[in-house]
Amino acid sequence: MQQDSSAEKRLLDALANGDAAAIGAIYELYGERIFRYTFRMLNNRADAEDATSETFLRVLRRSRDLRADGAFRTWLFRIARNLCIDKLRQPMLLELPVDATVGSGEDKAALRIAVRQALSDLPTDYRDPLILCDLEDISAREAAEILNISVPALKSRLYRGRRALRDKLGASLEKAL
Amino acid sequence: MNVNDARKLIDLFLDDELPAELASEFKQAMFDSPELRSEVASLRQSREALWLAYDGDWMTEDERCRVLCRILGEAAISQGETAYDPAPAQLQLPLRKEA
Repeated sequence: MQQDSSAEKRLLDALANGDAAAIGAIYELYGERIFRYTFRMLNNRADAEDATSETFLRVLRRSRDLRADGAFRTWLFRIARNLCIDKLRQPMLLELPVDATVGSGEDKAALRIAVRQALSDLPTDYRDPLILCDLEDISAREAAEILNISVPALKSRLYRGRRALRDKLGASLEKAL
Repeated sequence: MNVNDARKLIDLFLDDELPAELASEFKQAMFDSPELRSEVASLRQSREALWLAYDGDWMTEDERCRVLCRILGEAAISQGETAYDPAPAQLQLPLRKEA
């Protein structure tokens, strides 16, 4: 972690000083996480790929304003989230998980579909904290910064979101787990 | 204790954020109350289902490379370079060999 943050600082300094190639290394550090986050927000791989590219392109375009002050990851997630919100305003299809086929894992596959559908049906206020804290394993403090809300507000939304998801899943849970 | 406080306690317990002494009291309360036990169990199941549903959302190698090429292409352009400058041999179409 310490190594990551000093590598991040070096790369951000290089990028701010005009070394555009440093964006490749920054992408190597965070690309996978941003892709997973955008995929979980958008439920569609092609859209997640676009949103991931665009997130890092925005970093590149604003590289002169970058400060290696430890808040870079928060800023990165915030850019990704804003891009996802823009995409979610457009009509889109829910992509089925790759194992959503009939077979021995039928109940599990059905549950995966049910969970993705239930999560995407939740209001954004509940979905955002669930994805950030329970899936991305981001701390409540950082998630609150990404969402630009207070920590108590974040926790309240997270707790309500967990119950809303549980209630939506209802019987699918008992059947599959 | 009102309902909201009780819910908060449950979530703190699920997140392993309860201090040890309180956690032990909470476990005792779960032992005594089937409703509390069932509430905790269903929230745990729901969280496990969430992990299961989104497990393995890794980028494929193709996706990783496409994004990287796009970013590096724009980075090269921003520095006044040609995004991709193929060698003459790379411009030749691969031809199928006649039998």
